[in-house]
Amino acid sequence: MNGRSDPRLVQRLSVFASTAAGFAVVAGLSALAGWKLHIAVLDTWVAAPVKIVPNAAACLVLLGVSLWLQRKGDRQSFVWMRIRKLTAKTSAVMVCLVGLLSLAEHVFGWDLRIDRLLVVVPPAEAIVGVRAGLMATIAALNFLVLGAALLLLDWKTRHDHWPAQFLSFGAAIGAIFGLFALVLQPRASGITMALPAAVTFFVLACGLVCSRATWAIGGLLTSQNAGARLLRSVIPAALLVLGLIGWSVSKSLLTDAHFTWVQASLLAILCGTILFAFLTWIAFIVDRSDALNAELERRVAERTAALQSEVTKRTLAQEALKESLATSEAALKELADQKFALDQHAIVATTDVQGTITYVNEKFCAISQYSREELIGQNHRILNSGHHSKEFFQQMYQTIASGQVWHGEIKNRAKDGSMYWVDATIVPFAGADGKPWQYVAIRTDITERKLAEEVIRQLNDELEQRVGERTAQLEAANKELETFSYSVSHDLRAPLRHVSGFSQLLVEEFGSNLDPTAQKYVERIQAGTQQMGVLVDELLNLARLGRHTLRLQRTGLNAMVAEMLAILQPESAGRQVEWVIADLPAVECDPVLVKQIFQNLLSNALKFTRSRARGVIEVSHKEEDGQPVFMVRDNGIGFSMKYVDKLFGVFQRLHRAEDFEGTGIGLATVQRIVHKHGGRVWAEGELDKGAAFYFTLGVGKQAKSKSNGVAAGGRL
Amino acid sequence: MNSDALDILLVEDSQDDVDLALHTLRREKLANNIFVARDGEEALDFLFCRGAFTHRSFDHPPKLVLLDLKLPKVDGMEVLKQVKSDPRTKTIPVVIMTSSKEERDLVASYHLGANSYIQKPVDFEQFRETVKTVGLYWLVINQPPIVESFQHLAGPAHD
Repeated sequence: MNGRSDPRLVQRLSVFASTAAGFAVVAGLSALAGWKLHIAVLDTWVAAPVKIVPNAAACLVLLGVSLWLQRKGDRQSFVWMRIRKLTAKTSAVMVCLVGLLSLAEHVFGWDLRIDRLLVVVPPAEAIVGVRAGLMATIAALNFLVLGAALLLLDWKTRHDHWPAQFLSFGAAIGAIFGLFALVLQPRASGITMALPAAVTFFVLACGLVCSRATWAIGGLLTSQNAGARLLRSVIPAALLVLGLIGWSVSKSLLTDAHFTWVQASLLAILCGTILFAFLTWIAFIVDRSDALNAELERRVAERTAALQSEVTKRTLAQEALKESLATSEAALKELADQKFALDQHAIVATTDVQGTITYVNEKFCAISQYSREELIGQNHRILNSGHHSKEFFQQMYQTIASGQVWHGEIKNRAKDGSMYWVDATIVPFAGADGKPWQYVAIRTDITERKLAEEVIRQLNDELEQRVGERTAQLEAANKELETFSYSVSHDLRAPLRHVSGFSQLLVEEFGSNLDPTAQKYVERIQAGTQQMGVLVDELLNLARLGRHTLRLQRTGLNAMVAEMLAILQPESAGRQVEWVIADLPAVECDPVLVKQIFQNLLSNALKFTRSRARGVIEVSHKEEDGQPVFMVRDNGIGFSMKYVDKLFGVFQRLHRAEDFEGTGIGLATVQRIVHKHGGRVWAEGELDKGAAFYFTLGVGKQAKSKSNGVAAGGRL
Repeated sequence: MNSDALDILLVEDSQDDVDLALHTLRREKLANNIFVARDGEEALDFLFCRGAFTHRSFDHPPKLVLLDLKLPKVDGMEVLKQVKSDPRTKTIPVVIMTSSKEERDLVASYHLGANSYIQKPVDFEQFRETVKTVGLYWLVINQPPIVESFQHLAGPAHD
């Protein structure tokens, strides 16, 4: 039997087993109570002449307890399990012992007194031929069998737990025999069992099988196989039929004097057993075919499942294929779109490794003026303009042959001989061997750009040439100017010195012979030469400024002003002059030149305050647009603002020479120095009130001073 | 002119300047023996005792050379260069007296070893003062080099 037991049935049978155990205990105890309390019905149940003997009742209790303790399903601690098992097995052994001893008493006629241990049965109760209190032989045998069955309950032979279940089966047959005996033979004898004993035996035997419902006979009953199902449905009817047949057979046999009741009973039981065995055999056959069926079904199901999974797999694969096809189609479509877009913009061609054209697009044909047929199969050299060197193409082929992308500009010749420029990218495509097998060239027409570039280049060349020429001219002019100023410096001064020298000698050596007028004239000559000397010096100075490169350094202006005041000290001797010098910042400038600014402005201020009783000369600064504006102001004779534009011009003078000496170069020099610094200079004045000169040194603020410079330019 | 006891070699092409300078030097009694060379070549011949001056000896160099820069034939800068690069003449004090105030001349002169650089003032009074100061300084105040001490340094003439 395979183990496919019906779990609900197993559960039910297990409950029945517990109930059977309880029934046995209750039956045994009630029987004992019947003896003790003299209630006969508890020992006979029906109006039967045979009572269950006390030790049989006790043995029933022990069997019930043993079965109860060995029932399955309870989850208990290990120790408690051991105790339970030990108790159950001890009870079983005790029952076996009682059964065995009782059998021995019957067989050997011994009196071992075990019958009188619990209750002494009066001799009146004794059954004919049997000592009072001694159980029937069949009962003793049954106790021995059931005790052994409980003892061996969980013993498994090679195939299954057959021993206990066969023993139970035997006990059940014994019980049935007891019942037969009770019914068929009203006169009690040594083998007549009391009704409670027989019933309880039967119940216990069934309970025992049910307590292990998945094993052996139990397994046969509870199996879900067809055989078991058949057996289960047939059993009640079979039992009924069996009982009736047994009954009628027994009755009919008994009417025949040849058979004793024992023989009749045994025959009936034999028939029943054979019938039962036959049923079981059928069940087995059915079961086997069912098992075969089940196996077949299982295989079919398995196969079906396999097929189904195969179908599912195929369906999935098909779907995946469809999807990938769709993706590929989309990709192809996208590729086609991109190719279309590319063809709108670029000149595309494909060549093999030898440079033979294998594909050209419309644009290629349009720009080269060749038809597609004329181009395919031709070498790219067909377009060679001769503009590029051999090395140029060698380098290009080396690049793409080595698998690298080449990018460059190429001049090509169209069919009609006209030239066009393309910006080309050539991409090599490698085969499986890693070597390029074709080149795809994508080009853009850049002819117009190239033309424009050419024009620009020519313009640039021209411009450069002109700049070069102009620079050379300027350099020549500069050189000339330098030579000129050098000559002026050297040659113009010498004669002045001679005039000055000899006129002086004239006065010194012949002064006594000269009349006063002549002496005055000589003095005029001297003054003239001096004036001329200063003029030459200052002009040279101004000229030199143009060549002077700025040497910038951070310079404290207060120290510079103080130095100037010391130099000017002699000029202010005997005059009352108030110097108001503010704190001036340190600025980035060329100190040599800026010193000259202060020298010129301060000596001017000193000069033009000469007529004042008290000259006030002020040097200060203020912040304007983030840069310092320096101011030199005096309370001298001032000037009219309408001449302000003339102020900084070379040789421009606003006063007569006899009033105020001067060359008219000082302010021009100041302006030039300021401009050289990127600053601006301006003046404010009022006739007879005074003048103020402002300047900035815009070094490092060229951008800012540029706009200022324009404004200043207008004013100066 | 006794060239053996020469005080000043004046190198000047302008007769006017020569006269004014000599007038001043004589008036101030600063120099009795003055030789005037009118161009660079004559000055070099004189200093290196050659040409018309082979009778001269390196043992008696002038105490001072007043050298103009703008000279005919060989210019003053070349004269200075040769004098200062020859061991026999390099100890002779050379004062540049010129009309030029050009910075490049100034720098070049000192670079070549000029002992002093003076711009001739236009004003005669100032000119006279300058010449007087220079003469006084170099001929009276300054201790001239002892010629003999340097003679052993002299190698064969370069040019």
